[in-house]
Amino acid sequence: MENSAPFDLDQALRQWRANLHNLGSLRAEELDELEGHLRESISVLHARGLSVPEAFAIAAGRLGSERQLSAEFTKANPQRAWTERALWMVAGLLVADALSVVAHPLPDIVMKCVVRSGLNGHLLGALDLLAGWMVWTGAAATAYWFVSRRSLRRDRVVQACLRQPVLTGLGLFIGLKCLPYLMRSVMLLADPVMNVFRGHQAPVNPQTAAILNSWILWGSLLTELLWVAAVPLLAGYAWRKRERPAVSGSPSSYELQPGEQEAARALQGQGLSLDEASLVLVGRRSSREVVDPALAQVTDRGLWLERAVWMVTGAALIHCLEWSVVTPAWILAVATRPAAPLLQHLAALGSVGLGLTLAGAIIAGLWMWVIRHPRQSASIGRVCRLRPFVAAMALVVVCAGIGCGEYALVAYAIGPANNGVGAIRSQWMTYGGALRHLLIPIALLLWLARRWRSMEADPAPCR
Amino acid sequence: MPSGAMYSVRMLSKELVAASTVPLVLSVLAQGENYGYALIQRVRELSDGRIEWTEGMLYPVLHWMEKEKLIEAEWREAETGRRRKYYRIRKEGRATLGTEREQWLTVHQTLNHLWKTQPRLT
Repeated sequence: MENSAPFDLDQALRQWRANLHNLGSLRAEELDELEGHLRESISVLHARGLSVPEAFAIAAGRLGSERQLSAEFTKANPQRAWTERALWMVAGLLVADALSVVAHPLPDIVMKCVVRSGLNGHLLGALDLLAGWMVWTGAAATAYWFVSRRSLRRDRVVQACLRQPVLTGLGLFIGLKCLPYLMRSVMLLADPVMNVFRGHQAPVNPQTAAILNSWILWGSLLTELLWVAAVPLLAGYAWRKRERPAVSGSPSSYELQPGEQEAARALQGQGLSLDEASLVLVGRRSSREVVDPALAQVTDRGLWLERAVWMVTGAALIHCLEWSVVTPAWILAVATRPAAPLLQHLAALGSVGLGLTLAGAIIAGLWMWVIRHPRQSASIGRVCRLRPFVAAMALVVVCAGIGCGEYALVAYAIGPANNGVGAIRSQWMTYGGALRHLLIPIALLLWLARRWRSMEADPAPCR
Repeated sequence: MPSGAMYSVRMLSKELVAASTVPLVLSVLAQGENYGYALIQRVRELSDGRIEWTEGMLYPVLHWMEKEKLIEAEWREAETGRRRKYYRIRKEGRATLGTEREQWLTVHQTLNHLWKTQPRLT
């Protein structure tokens, strides 16, 4: 009962292997072992009278779905899977930073155009926030379009970048460093045009300025919360896109017709289960490619969606750390405001160090936890995927609580003494920001890429 | 695929399969070195098809046992020309097997006593 469509076993096995490889938790040696198993199983089933595609479908089904296998191997070897995830998280952080640099001018332009037009402050604030969100939505839509197409060239570029972590890191560093200057020159070029739109140069009403400031403050908190909520929502969406039934069609489509009971018993005599026999017989009856379900590809879109989940997670995590740890650390510097310059420098340095140390400790703690407790971290992931809305609400409530608490703390600490940021403090804030946003992510990216590469190159003992 | 109800009488529960994997692997390997596919077939034969592993799930367990030094592995070329990873039990593995054996026998004997006095339990 050969299928009419030509079936290339080697091609099918290559595809199967590539799908598993793309899920990211299996090493080359483990893939070798599983492929050996699959070949062995196929030849036994073929010898018992199944066609090669049928044998492939049954053997692959017995081995387990790609997702099941990947999940089990992740539990057994969490370091590898988490290294790759961390890599995408850092990449997401860098992309988010780059996007915010690019996205910054648009709300700014909108603001410049309308701020002097005498509009209501609340309207202006809402307009500014919406313009910012629109830039982000546009960027996300573009990114989605970019990753959901099949593109060999793009995949090749990503692979090449991963193979050359040092060059990639240097390129990213220079590129991201240049981006703000580029944007500034674009703004300068656009200035004469902007002047035409600005029209009459009425001074900004101080009351409007105050309303605008509070809109910017609460708007940024709202944006952060949206980031946080996006993680489980996107994870849930990616999960639904990725998870496909183990066999195509509903189970009822595998019910046998009266005449097929005999053939099913014969196949069961060959060591097939009733399900497997039904799958084969239904495939023969409808002359459908029985191999289809086993070979259904892990789509590019699904793969990139999962990467996007980790990228957003990385950006959201760092934003959370920023306002829950790094910003409060500035209280140290604020407390010493009226002191001598040297003391102010020391306190500011201490603030930068304290913020970074605390954030680093939290990240290291999280890393240890996910490595040591793969089952628990997997169940958190499961909650995010199966109940995305509940998880999003829980995260938003927790983060909003931290955010409001922190705002109150900072307002209390800075509020009465806030007569200007102070030159020394603002200088150190700039240094700290550069360190956090550029140097550390790129250093992390380099380190993770090297680690990932060394795991990838882990050779099979016999080679 | 439909499953569960149809097999619940014959097949072992998921939890019992998970708990018995390590002693089963150790017991098979105690009889001599073996590779993944043959190991699964052996267990399936001996259990008369009632212990059905999702085959791929065995490998992470084997690798974990290798890391715990219960077994050791070696890539070799088989007579068919295929490269296979053969697993062999180590001294630590035999000790673990001894402990596992005692524990499983204890459960077995206890249940046996109970079921002898209450023969109509099922």
